[in-house]
Order: sequence, then C-alpha cells, then structure tokens
Amino acid sequence: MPFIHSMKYICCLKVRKDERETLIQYTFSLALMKKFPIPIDQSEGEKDQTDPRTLTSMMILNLGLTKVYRLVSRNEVSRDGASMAGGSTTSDVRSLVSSLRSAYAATPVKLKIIDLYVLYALITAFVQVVYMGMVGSFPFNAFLSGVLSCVGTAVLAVCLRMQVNKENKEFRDLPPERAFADFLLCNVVLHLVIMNFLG
Amino acid sequence: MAGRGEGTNSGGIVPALEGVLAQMKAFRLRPKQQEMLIKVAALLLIYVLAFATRLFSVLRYESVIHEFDPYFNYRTTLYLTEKGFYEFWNWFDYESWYPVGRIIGGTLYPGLMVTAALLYWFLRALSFAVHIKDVCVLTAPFFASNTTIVAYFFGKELRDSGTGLIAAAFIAICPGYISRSVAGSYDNEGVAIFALLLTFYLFVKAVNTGSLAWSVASAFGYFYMVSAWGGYIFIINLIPIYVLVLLVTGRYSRRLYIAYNTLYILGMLLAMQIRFVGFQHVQSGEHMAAMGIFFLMQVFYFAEWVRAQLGDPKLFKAFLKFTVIGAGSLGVLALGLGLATGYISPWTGRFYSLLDPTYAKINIPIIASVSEHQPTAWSSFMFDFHILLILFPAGLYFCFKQLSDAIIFILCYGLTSLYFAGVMVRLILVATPAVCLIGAIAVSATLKNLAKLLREKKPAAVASTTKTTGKKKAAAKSGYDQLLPFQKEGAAILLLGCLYLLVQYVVHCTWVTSEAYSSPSIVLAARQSNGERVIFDDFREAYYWLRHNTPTDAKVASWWDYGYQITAMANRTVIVDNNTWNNTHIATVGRAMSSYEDESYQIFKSLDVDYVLVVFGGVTGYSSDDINKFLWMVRIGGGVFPVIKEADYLNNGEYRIDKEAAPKMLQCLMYKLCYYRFGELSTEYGKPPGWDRARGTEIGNKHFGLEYYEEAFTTSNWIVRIYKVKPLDNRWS
Amino acid sequence: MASSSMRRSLLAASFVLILFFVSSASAAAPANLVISKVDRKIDLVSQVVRTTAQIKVENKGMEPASEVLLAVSSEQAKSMAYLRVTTTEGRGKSKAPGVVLSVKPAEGEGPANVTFFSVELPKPLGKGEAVALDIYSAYSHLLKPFPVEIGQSDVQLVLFHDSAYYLSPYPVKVQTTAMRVPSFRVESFTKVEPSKITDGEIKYGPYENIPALTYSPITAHFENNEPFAVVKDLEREIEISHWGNIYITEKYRLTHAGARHKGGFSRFDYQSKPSASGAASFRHLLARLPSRAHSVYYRDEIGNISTSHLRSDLRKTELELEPRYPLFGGWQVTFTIGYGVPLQDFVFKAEDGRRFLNITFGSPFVNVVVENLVVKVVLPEGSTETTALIPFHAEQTLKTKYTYLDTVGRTVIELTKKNVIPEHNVNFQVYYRFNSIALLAEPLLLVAGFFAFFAACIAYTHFDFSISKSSSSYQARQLREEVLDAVQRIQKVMNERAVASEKLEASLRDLARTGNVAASKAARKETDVKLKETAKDLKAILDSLPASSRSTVLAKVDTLMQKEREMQEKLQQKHTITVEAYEKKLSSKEIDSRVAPYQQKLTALKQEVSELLNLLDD
Repeated sequence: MPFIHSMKYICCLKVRKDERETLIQYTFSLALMKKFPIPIDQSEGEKDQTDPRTLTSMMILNLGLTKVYRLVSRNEVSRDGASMAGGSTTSDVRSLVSSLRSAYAATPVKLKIIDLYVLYALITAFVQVVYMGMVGSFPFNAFLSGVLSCVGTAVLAVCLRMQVNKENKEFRDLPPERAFADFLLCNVVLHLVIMNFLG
Repeated sequence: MAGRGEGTNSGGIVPALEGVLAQMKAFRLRPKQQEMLIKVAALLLIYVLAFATRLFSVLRYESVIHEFDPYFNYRTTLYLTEKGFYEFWNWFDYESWYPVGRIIGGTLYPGLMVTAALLYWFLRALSFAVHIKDVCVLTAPFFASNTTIVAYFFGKELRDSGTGLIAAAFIAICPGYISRSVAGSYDNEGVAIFALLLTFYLFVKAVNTGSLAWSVASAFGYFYMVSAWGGYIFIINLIPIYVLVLLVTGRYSRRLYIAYNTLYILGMLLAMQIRFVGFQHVQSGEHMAAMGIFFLMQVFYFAEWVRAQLGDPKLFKAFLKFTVIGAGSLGVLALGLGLATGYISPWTGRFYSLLDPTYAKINIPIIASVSEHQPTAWSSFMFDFHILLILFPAGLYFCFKQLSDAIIFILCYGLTSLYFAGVMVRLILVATPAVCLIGAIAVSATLKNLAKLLREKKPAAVASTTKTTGKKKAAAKSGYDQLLPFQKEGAAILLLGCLYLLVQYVVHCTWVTSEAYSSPSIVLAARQSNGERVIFDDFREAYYWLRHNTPTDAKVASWWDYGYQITAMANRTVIVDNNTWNNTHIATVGRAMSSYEDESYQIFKSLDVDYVLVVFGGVTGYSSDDINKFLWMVRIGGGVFPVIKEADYLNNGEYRIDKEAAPKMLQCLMYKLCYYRFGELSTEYGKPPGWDRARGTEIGNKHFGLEYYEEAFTTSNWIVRIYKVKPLDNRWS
Repeated sequence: MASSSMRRSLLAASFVLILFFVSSASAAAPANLVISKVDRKIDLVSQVVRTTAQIKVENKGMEPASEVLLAVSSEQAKSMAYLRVTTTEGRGKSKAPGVVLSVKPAEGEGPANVTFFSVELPKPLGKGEAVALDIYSAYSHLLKPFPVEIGQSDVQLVLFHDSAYYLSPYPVKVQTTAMRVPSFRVESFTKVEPSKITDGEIKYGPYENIPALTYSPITAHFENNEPFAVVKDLEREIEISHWGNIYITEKYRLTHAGARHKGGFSRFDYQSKPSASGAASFRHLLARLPSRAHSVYYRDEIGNISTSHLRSDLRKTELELEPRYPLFGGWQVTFTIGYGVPLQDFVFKAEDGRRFLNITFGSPFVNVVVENLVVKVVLPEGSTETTALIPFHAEQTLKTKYTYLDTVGRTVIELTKKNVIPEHNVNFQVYYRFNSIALLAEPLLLVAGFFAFFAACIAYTHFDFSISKSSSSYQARQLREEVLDAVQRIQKVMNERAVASEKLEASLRDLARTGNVAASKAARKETDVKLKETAKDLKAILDSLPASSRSTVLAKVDTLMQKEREMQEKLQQKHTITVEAYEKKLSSKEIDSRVAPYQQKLTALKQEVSELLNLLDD
C-alpha cells in the first residue's frame, strides 16, 4: 500500500512538465528514497506493528511532501515578485549556476582535487544509503560504518580544504604540511575505528 | 607578549605568591622564568593538595571502598584484573539478579574499571607490589588532581593563566566535587568529571585554534567520557546547544566547523564501540540534537562557500531560499520518519525527569526513591559551593564584558549545568567545574584590577614612560582613578577582603570534607556520651559471616541498596541490586517484604531464596535502615502488584510503628524480621524494653514468633539481621 | 543411652583385639625386652591430647638390644602430631636432663592396626641392663565431640578412646594410667578395675603382668568447653629487609572444630545471658608476639578489623584479637595479621660469614592446631647459598618472588608441614649469604628512572618537532627567539658596564677618603678598557640582530644604549673633574659644587637606564 502512494506521487509529478519543477521533483525523489526503506525494514522487524507504523509514516510523509510543495510554490511566487526587477527566475538560476562555475574555475588545482575527493565520498555514501533503502539495513553496524566512513572522510577533507585554502585568513599561521599531517592522523583514527566497528 | 605581561600581574593573584613577586623586583632575574617557576610550583602544590585533601577518610577510617555502587565497580575491576579483558567483556554474572542474571560486559560503562586496571598493571610493570583495592581507593583522588591540571589549562584558554591557577585551586577543594571523589568512593563520577572537563577543554581549544589535531583529541576525550559515565548525554547535548548559540549570534567560523564536525563524527564512531551505548547515537532521541546540528553545519558551510564564490548578494539570497527550505524540510521529514518508524526511540524517563523535576515522582518511584535524585535544596548549594555561589554572577558579568567563543562556551556550560544541578542533587557535581571556572574568572579579574591599582607608580612616571598598549590603557585608567582619594588604600582593603573570602572558602571546604564527605557509609562511627568514638562495623560483620558460613550457592534476598555490597563482600548471589534495571524484580522483593509472613514465604520460595537480610537501626539509632525505607518498598511493590496498598501501612496517613500503627504494618514481614525478639531487649536506660532508638518510640508489636524464618545471624549491634528461610518440609514440625 | 550402647560394642570388639594381638605378638618384637614399670599421664584439658609415659626397659635376653620399639594404635598414630623420646639418667628426683633419642617409624612387622616406632638407644642395652625412657607424644584430633551437633545453649561433650593398658610390644610388669579432664563433669568412663575418679582425674591401675600388645579399650565421655580452634591453613611469610626490619604476615583460615552448631543463632540470648549460651563458642584468640614487635595490623579480605587489643611490655607483646563474629562449632573465618620486628633480634652472622635467620616456626597463637602450615622465608634480593635447618621434618621448596622494585626477584624458601601444634613452636634457622651493597640496587634504580625522565624532558625542550621549516609562523617564532636571545646578551653586557662604572665610583669614594690619586687613575684606565671592549661586543650583537626585527626592538635598544653611553660619559667627566680637583688640592666643598650638576644628571640617567632595562624584559 505504501507503493500505491508513491506511485500516486510519481504520476502527479509526471503530469507537471514544467521546467521549474525540477527542484520539486528532486525533493520528492529524495523523499521517496527515504520512504522505501520503511516497509522493507519493518517487514523484518516485529510483524504485528508493521501496519500502524507504516500508516503513520505515510501520513507524516504526505504531510511533509505537501508542506515542501507548498513552500516551494510559495517561494516561487515570492521569487517572481522579486524577479520583477532582475529578469525571469530561469535566467536567475542560470546566472547563479554560471557565476558559480566561473567563480569555481578560479580555485587552485589542489582544492579542486580535494573537492573531487569530497564529491566521490559523498556519492559513495549516497549509493550506500540507496542500497540500504532497497535491501534493508540488516547488519546495522556494517551499514553505519560504511556510511559514516564516507561522511567522515568527506567532512575531514572539507576541513583540510579549509585549512590549506590560502584565502582563509584565520589559518594563516597554520602551515599546510601541519594541516595535512593532522588530516592523516584523523583519517587513521577514523578508519581504524571503522575497521573495528565493521564487526 | 601582552599575554605574558598579564601573566606576571595575575601571578600576584595567588596570595602565596605575592611575596615572591615582590622579590622579583629585588632580584635581577628574568620575569618570564620567575613566572614559569611560580606557575609550576603553584600547580604542583594544587595537585598535591587536591590529592591530599581527599585522604581524610583513609586517615579517619581505613583504605576501604565506600557506599554501594563502588563495591560493584570494585568487584568488576577485580574480575578484570584477574580474568583479563575479554573474559570481562563478555562476562555473564550469575550472582546478581537471580534467577535472571546480568550481562555485565554489555550493561556497564567500563571506563572506570579499565582505567583502574591499567593503573594497576602499570604499577605492577614498574614492580610496585600494590593491591588492586588500594589502586581503586586512590583512583578518584588521582583523577581529581588531574582535573585540577585540566582546569588550569581551561582557565588559561578562557582568559589567562592567572584564571587558570585560581580555577585549579578552586576545583581542587570544591566540596561539590570532593563529595564524589574522596579516597574510596570508587565511582564513575570520579573519572567522569575529569573526562568531562578534558573534553570541554579540548573542544574549546579546537574551536580556538581550528586544528584537526585538537578536535580529534577532544573526540578521544569524549570517547573516554562515554566509556566512563552515562552523563556523556550532557556533552552530546551541550555542545550542539553551544554551536547553535554561536550560529545564532553570527559567530560561525570555519574553526567551529572543523572542531564540531570532527568531534561529532569521530566521537560518535568511537562511542559506538562501547557496547552499552551501541547505536544510541543514531537511534535515541537524546542524541538527535547533535545530528541535526551536524547537518545544519553542512548547510551553513555550503551556503558560506557559495557566498564566498559569488560576491553578488542578490543571487546568494535566491540560492539561500532553495537550500535553507530544502534542507529544513528534509530535516523535518527525516526526523518525522525516524520517530514514526521507531528508528529513533523517544526520550527515556530519566531524561524527562531531568527536564521536569516532578516527572520522576509521578512516574518512576525507583528514581524518586534514591535520595540523590531529589531536587536540590538551597542549603546544599551553599554547602557545596560556598563563596563560588556568590562569585558565579560576578563571573558572568566579567564574561559578558569580554565575550569570546571560549567564554560563550563556559557560559552555556555554566547556565545549563546549574539548571540541572537544581533539578537533581547529584548533578551539582556536573555544575561544579563550570562554577569554579566562572568564579575563578571573577576573582582573577577583580584581583588583577586591584593589584594593578596597587602597583601604579605616580602619574608623572606613568606618563613619561612609553609602554605597551595594554599597560598604556592601565595607565590611562589609573589616570582617572587618581581623581578619587585614597584609591590605593581602598584597593588594598578590597584586596584583603578578597583574600579573607578565599581563606574562608578554604576553611569551609576543609571542614566540609573532613566532617561530611569522608565517612564510608559501610563503617559507622558514633560519639559516645563520654566523647570517645565507637565504630559500628556491623555491615562487614554480617557480610563476612555470610561469606564464610553459608553454602556458596546460597541466595540472599535484601532490599536492592545492599545488593552490590553483598555480591562484592559476602560473595553470594542476590535477588536484586543497585543496578535497578528490572523494576518488576525489585517490586517482587518489595512485595515480599511488605506482605504477611506466609505470603512472603511463598514469594521467597518461588525465587528460591535461602537467606533474607534486613538492616535495622533500632538498637543503635542508625536512621537510614529498612524500616525507614519501608514505604518506598511498599510504593515500588504496589506500583507493580496492586495487592500492596500504601494506605494499609499508614494509620490515617501517618507512618508509625508503635501501638497506633496500622495492623498490617505490625504484621508484615519487614516489621517482624526487624523487631524479632527486640521487644525483650531494653535499649536505653529508663525506657521500656523494645524502645526503638532510631524512631524514638516503643514498638507496637513486641512478642511474636517466626514460623517460616529462623534467625541465622544478627550482628553485635543488631544493625544487620539475617534470617534463614526454613526448608519446606519442616514447616509443620 | 546411646553412648553406653557404643561402649558395649567397643568392649565386644576389644576381646577380638586382644586375641589378635596376642597371636601376632611373637612376630612383633624380640621377646627378650621387658618393661618393668610404666606410669602414663594423659592430659585431656585442651583440644590437644598430650601423653607422657615413663617406662623402664630391661633386657632379659642374651644378646644386647640397640633399639626399643614403641607401639601406637593406628587411629592414634594417624593424629599423632609430636613424639619425643628422652632417656633419663640417674635415679628418682635427681634426674639429669635427658638426651633426645632419634625415633623413626619401624616398618614391616606387626599387625595392621598397630604402628611401631623404633627408638635408637644411645648405647646398646646389655644383658640385664635397664634404661628409663620418657616418651612424650601429642595428638591433635583425638577428642571427638559427642553429641556431634549442639545448640546455642548446650555445653560441648567429647569422647576419648584409649586402652586401659599401656600398648607395648613387650610384656609390662607394673603400670598405671592417669587422665586429667578439664572439668568435674564426666558423663562416663569405662571401668577396668582397679580404676577410680578423683577430682578431675581418672586413674587406672596399677595393673601387673600384662602380656605384650594387650589392648582393652576404654572410653571417657566428659565436658570440654576449651576452644577447639583449628587453623585449616596458615601461611606465614617472613620477609627480611636489610634496611632494618623483618616483616611477618600470617594468613589464617580458622574454624571451630568442636561440636557443630545446630539451629539458629540468637544474638539476644548471646548478649543477655553469656554464661548460659554459647559456652562452647569462642570469640577471643591470644597471640604471643616477639617482645619488640611493631606496626601490628589485623585485617581480612574486606578491610581492617577494629576489635583487637595489643598489650606489650619489655618481655612480651600480646595481641588479643576478636574475629568479626563469635565462632560456634563449624563456623569459620579468615583473617590476616602482620607485624614487623627489628632485624638485629633475629638475623645474626654465622662463622662462615653467612647470615642466618633464627625465628620460631609455628603460629604465635596459644593452643591452636594448624592443619597445613606453610612458612615462606623471603630473603633479600641477591642473596645466595641458602639452606634451612629445622629440628623436625618439613618439606622445602625454593621459589622466587617479585615485590617492590625487584629486578631479579627474591629467593623464597617455602617450608610445608601438616598437623602443627604448639610443641612445634621452636626456632629454626635459614642461612644465606648477602652482600650489603645489593641494598643500594633499588634506590639506584629509582635515581636512574628519574634521571631518564628529566633527560627526556630536556631533550624534548631542546629539539624542534615542527613539521615544516618553511611556514611563516615557524620562521616568526624562530625570529622571536633569536631576538630574545640577542636582548638577553645586550642586557648581560649592560650589566658588565654597570659593574665597571660602579668600580669607578668606588675608586672616587676611596679618593675622597684617601687622597690617593694614582689608584683612582689606574681604576679609570681599566674601566675605560673595559668599556671599550663591551662597546665592541654591543656593536657585534646589534649587527647580529636579525634585520626584520630591527624596527621593533632596535628603537628600544638604541635609546637604551645612547642613554647608557651618555651616563658613562657623565661619569667619566665627573671622574676627571674630581681627580683634577684633588690634584689641585681643592677644598672638598668646591669639588662638590663642581661635581653636583654632573651628579644630578648622572642619577637621572641611571634611573632611565634601569627603566629601559626593565622595559626590554617584556
């Protein structure tokens, strides 16, 4: 029965072919991705409680989705209002993206590499979450250690990026070598713990 | 350099050092070396003092473990040192909670035991033939000393080394802390406070420096805290609150990001290695705040980054809308899902009872029955903090005068912990370091100003010499102050006043420590009329008797307070003990104690109990005995078994044991076991036989026999009475 | 009634025994020895049964006999703790102290339920000669409580079985036996005429011409409330420390071996009528410690026990201690006592240069029986050539023990003996060779440890652990250190100059006292030289100051230096003027007036210089 719900949402998405709705779709797909695990996970939990729980979860999900939809739509309106001055919102988004790209082009290669690393870690984490959603989180510690290792790596890399970034004045008297050494230390700790935790 | 300069001034704060400072002028020695010397000396003194002042109990009585819980810790530590770590880690204890048993490894915070064991092994490796018991007895003082060092560095991080020294001195002798860390009180709190303060210090350090190394260090501090005490919940909620405050007050910085995220991720992972904690970090409601803040930080960082990328604020605003709304709604969604599907367990009763003092009274009698869970009385605040209680607001004032990230942290810590201290007596302990630090800030600030005033040269000289900026300010200030007359004298008087206060504090602390907090409730001491000190060692007498003169598989039923002591000292199986995880079990014992002899016999037989142990103060006037605890047994028993009604034991709402007492009261098992043959004994001169000195009344029901129980042993002062449950067959003999 | 029936059965058994013995007597021993007279005293007062038999052996045979056999019934032999045979020379009252004869179990011959011991005679017993022997033996678990279980208010009754006749492989001419019982209350005793009971003593005999190995069982049933304190296990550890003390630790597992306690224990009765209840129980124990015993403690697994009293005078120290609870039959308790005694009382030098410990073997408690005794003598670290001398048999093993700051461990001599009674409480010796230098090992170890620690600290402060030498912050730190260093040196030089000028002033003062111009001139010269040198040094240091820091520090230093130079100049001027003045023999007033202006300037400058120096510190 949760699947029917989700189907409903998906079709109601498909109906609106507006280019602006990409964001909403994105939100929804995320929400759905969060939604799938529930029935699966519950099915291999205590059977008796599955139905009420999924029901409540569905209700909350509906609430959340509608809320998001409303919010987004409202701020579209407001943004239209705002964009009376500054051209249409599409151009707004475009310009945002373009300016981001242009600005990012300026960053040194070192940082770009780090960003790539972060991105990779995050994607891995995302994949794991999706997989968990589909297969279920049975060896919970394994799942946790997998995801957390990715998240941890990403966060640490971000920290490193901050510290080696020349523009950040607050780290001026912290030599990059030192920063990298710390980074290594943290990673060693992180991965030792993960290894212990994998079980 | 300026900091150093302040250091020199603040050196003068510690009264003992002023003379040395004076000499400093005389000698042509380099001030920095002097200062270093003085600081180290002072710290060493404080370190020793913190250790020494906690040894009262050892000197008064002996090197013995105090209280109740410490006996469990001692027992487990013994097991750990004898059997090794893995045995300890998966140890199933048959001796407690008969017939259920208890998985020790999975249901305790191993930090304390492992620490003690490591200390023990280390000493052994140095070929010091110490006994594990002495190591356990001295663990708490040792860690208290270490705490002073941490306090010093924390204070230094907050303001300057002077503050650090004062904070160290304060916390070294603060009764609020001593109450849980005297020699022999071998309890989790002993090391936990050290871990707590260490974590906080390292975290603040990390926030100030923004270096990963400090963050990872703080993560390890957190790990130690988690392994040592359930109070880590406080950390994992306080730090997010702090971060939130910084975000709201627009003090977000990359340093904060680094510090918090590293601490959270690594700390969480490390904490999950403790079996007792397990997945709570991702599943229980108490830990969700931290996770939320974690995601919030990511959003913040992303937003920051984007804004840094594109200078145009309008674009950024547009972007912000998306991200914030998206992230917010996602967060709400995730939380809703979690709660609904039961991924995230709701808050536990203890947590509620923290937020709402009245909660426990209504819902969880077991928590309410423990005296140290009661809301705190003002007197005990005064008792435990003394002048710090007055210095705290002053410290707050000084804090607000110069806000910094670190100061904001100590503010959050101080205010929240003080609230919790108000909710529960035992949480005064958590508040103590914060109070000490803030008090230290107040004192150092005042004294420094006064000292500066005293040190002023005449304005001409001040004007003429060109000095560093800090000193120039001081000079200018003193320039104004010059207007008031006698300001130097006034300063001197104020200074003396402060010193007097401090001395008072020291006196008070010493008195409290020696009088109130240094008695191991296992050995009771009383003054006779002729002033000489008598020792009631009845508990150990009884436990030792059990240990040597009962079958090794005998099962002893007693109220849960004595469970740990019995397993540790008498080495016998108990039905319930101080780890009150199974309410029903405890209620069963409560019911047995509060029902008639034959019913209780049935219950005890069903638990195949061999001996029943009661604690009775009627002869000695020991007031915290089972008769006074009895109403709680009735309540807890009645909470599960409606058969037991509190009203039956009260004579129109009054709890009494004399002739007017309720009939059921006079017939219930607890009464009989306590007062068996007590009616024939005359305890006090000029009073009728059967005069209960603890209650100060003559008991109501004097002459009765026991049908199903047999007096097996009674200690020399009747404090502990042990009864044998007669075997079934000779019930009718 | 139960007891009487038992006695009957015993009597029945006894006849069998007699026949049996007689039949086997011939095999038992050479028949040519005869015991002419036996009088035997059996002491049943305490829990230990002590018998003394004075026998007179005559040799009726042809060939001389070199050994005498003693017979003990097997169940007594099992619980025999002590046996000593002495000969008594001389007659009647004037007995010389006897020589102790060696006794060994005689193996082989004789019936199963009799154990024989053979006594080595000092000189073989010729034809017709006689020898008098004192046989002293003690038995530990011979008194059997009967009834086996008693309540709290009952008294303790015990049974004692023995033979009316002295059991011996030789025919006995005349013999008597006397049993001393602790109280007048004797329930019953087997009558073998002539036998009678007089106050506290049961007398058998005299009997005449009893054939060898005749056994007529007798049983005495009487009250004995003496504490049946039996120590199941006792571990004594005697640790020798050549710093001047011997530490003795004794771990006891004590039990009441009398009639088992039956039913509950009522504290009320025990307290209210002590006479009537718990007669057989005991709550005190008395230990006789060496006279100079000190730092006595009394504790157990769960801590210190406060109920003990220590009485000591010059001759002895008595420790009276109470277990945590009174001991009734079958109850047991464990505890540990420890005390220290001065080294010189118990450790002495032997002739061969070795040292030897000479201390008592058994437990210091009066009339307790120890079932398993382990005595560990822990010799100081590095002691060699250890041997132990014990007057009776006990197993020895060597072990090593590690305690405070031990490196190679200490030699431990472990002596084990079963069934020990107060008679065994005699001195034994442990010889060992120990070099006093070895005492210093442990302090030196400590010293080395601390030294290593401090060395590590020094090393840590002097090495430079920073990762990148290139970073700005690191360089800045380096720079600051250099500057600090330079400033220090400058101050040093300044001090030197100050000293020099001081000299100059001093010379002036001398001048004022003794108009010795030449001296002051000389002083002037050397100060000038000094100042020149120091000026050079200063220059060098200033150049060495790193370029970047000049802006900040240099300003101060420069001001300082020029002021200082100024001061020096003023001083010199003052000096010249004064000297000239003296040469011109001017009046002191004039000199003062001339010097005065310089003087003022000088003082002002001095102050400034000092302030500047202070300033350089921060």
